[in-house]
Amino acid sequence: MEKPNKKRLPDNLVVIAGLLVLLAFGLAAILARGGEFDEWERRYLADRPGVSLSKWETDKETEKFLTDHIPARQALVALDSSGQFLAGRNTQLGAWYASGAVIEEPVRADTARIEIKLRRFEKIADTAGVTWLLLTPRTHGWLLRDRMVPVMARAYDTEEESYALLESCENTVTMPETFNADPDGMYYRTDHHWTLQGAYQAYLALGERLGYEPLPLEDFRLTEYSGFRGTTLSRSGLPALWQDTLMCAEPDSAVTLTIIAKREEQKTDSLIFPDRAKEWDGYAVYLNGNHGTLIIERPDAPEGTLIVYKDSMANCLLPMLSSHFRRVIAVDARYDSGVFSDALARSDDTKAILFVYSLDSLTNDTEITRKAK
Amino acid sequence: MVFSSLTYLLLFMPCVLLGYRIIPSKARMPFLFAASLLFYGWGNPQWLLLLAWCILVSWGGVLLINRENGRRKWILTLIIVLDLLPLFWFKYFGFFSGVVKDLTGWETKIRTPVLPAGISFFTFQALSYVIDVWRGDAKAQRSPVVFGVYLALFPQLVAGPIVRYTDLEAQLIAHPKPTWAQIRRGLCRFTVGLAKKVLLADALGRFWGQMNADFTQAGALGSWLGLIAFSFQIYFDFSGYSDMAIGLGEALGFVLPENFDHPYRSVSLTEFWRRWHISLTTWFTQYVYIPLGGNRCKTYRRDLNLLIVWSLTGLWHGAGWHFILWGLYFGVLLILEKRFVSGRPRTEKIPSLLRQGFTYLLVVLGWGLFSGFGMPLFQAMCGGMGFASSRAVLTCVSFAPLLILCALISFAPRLPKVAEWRFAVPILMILCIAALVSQGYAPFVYFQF
Repeated sequence: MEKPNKKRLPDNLVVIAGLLVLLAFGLAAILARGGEFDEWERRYLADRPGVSLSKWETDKETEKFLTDHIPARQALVALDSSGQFLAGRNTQLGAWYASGAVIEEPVRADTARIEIKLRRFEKIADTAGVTWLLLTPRTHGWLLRDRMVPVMARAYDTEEESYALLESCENTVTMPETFNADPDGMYYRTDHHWTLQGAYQAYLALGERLGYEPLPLEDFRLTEYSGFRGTTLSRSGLPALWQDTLMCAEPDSAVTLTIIAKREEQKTDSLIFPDRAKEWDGYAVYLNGNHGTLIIERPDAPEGTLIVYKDSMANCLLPMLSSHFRRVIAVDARYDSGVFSDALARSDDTKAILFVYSLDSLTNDTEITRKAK
Repeated sequence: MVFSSLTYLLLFMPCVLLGYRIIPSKARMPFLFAASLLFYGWGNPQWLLLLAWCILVSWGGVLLINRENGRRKWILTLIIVLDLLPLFWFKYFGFFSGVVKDLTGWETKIRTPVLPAGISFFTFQALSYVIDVWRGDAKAQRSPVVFGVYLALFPQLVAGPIVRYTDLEAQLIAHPKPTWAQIRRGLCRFTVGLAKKVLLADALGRFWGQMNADFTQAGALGSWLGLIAFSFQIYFDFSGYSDMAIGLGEALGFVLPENFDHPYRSVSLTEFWRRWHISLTTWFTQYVYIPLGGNRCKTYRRDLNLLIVWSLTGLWHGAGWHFILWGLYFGVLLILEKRFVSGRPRTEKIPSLLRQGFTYLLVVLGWGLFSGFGMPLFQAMCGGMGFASSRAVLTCVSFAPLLILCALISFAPRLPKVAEWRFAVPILMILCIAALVSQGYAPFVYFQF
């Protein structure tokens, strides 16, 4: 027997209201337009479902459509992620939380894959007849190990094998100790990219190997953009309670940036795009985001051409490097228009080839391996 | 369609429950039949042909049995064969053709079809109807729509409970109009079942998936905890589904039989199988074990009956040797229990907590067979693949609170009735919808490829 409850709302009211709320959510979702770009997830949302009896996919398409267009979607995802986080399943969100930062998962050691890439990098440089350097910084998670609970810190030990392999390679540029000792200053709390300070440490480390005298940070034109929420945070689904401030540095002299994407060329006279800082992923403030090929031209720079094969880690670094080279040609192999040989063909005064990759890209990205063949 | 989908929760369920409540009495059965067909056909409209076959064969065949006097047994056999034909074709053809290939080397070029949802459930319901009418335990249903509702009733169509026709006959004829209180109670139970499935079982499944992906990483710790998680996953998944089915049945004015009764609290395997998937155990008892002679025969014959029933139970769960092995495992254990343990004074002296723990251990090892991972799993559990990698230890620690919660729910002698807590049901519903939306959340880092 149910206990009588005087305060209980009438059954018909509760049932009708409850079912109508569910239906309202369903109708609001199913009546959405579909196919629009979502800045938060940086992907196109599902199109309206079609109907084909011969190849029945309507059930899956409808479910996908409803999932993508349900009202308050972002809040619902944040609720679920927060629930998992509070239940101790911090490591199940695609990004881990440690010491006030959302960080990437440890990169599993796969030295065989790295060795293949190193051999191919060397072959590219030998063919071009120039020296090559590799810059792969230690990850934010690895730097934060001392502040983690032991069971979490030990998971990052798997990266050690990869670092040992890289350090045994004479072409690897070692980051200064300052970088490894200051995880808070070198990486964003919400993003897997390094901060301006982190990139500056890389710029200092490269100076000796590339033969330039690094400039003090104050000599660059510095700009700041608050409210930055990086990709690591959005991948976790956690609510945007943390924010970072993006800092950018670029030389003060005249510059031309050519972006080559999908066979189209776009020229601009700045390396920093303040409008992009207002987007969900404000990291696109550097170089207008990721592109297959970029050419930075600075006629008053002292050196010839530097070719940089890179992932997005280098985006913050390239403006600083461009103060020493008349041309910096940057290729991101993860994009269709990022072709290694095209970059070499564009230059007849290449001083060096620099590879800048995160440990994740260096280990796991198959496009880099394929295109470097 | 599945209950744990937004299509069901946000569109189908509100429309059907409100519609069923407000339409006139005469329209209720056709409405429910149409809703059930939509529910089933939504996954693949071609499967409706299969359901229609099963309805027509059983409904028409039974009318034929009633008309004939001399050839009733032959017609019964024919109907059973025709009912079982799709089940064999879709579920077992691939398995048995593989067995034939292994034995003779002869290989058929016919491709194994995709298994339609719920085929084992509605086939068994159809068989129970046909046999009950043949035995004289039930009257033949003259209306194809009412019989269609019995076989295709969407709350229990794809995952049970398997309802005997005699249990629903009176309700189907009365085509009840549910009260608002019934709908409320039904929706509360549905939501609790949904939470079991989405918030507990799915999360446990992710843990088990990470552990069984590589037993060399999982080691002894990960494989043991993973298997325990699997035991909870199966329980919360299946009992959650049964809760949803029974709750929806109540919201539509039907009383469906209970299917689970806290099985992990059992102190013997015989008790476990009285509490686990009750409707299937009842079906096999009624339609296989008792006709074979049941307990009323010599001990060796009873043991043989048990082995037959349990190998068939294993085969019912899936077409694979590990399912048959799992069934035989329980068959052998139940025989041993009946012969040497049950009713012995010494057994009664063992503390029930120990007996409960031992029963659970045997059931968990059974789930190890059921999972199909075979030797690598048991090798890892015995420590043959090390203790665990640092990553696996971290994953185990992450899921420890969930495992403890599930253990408390599964083993605790008394549980608070969550559905009666104020705001518990709406909160659970929101959390479930959030979890379902989150499963489709896929941030794309490099969208310009």
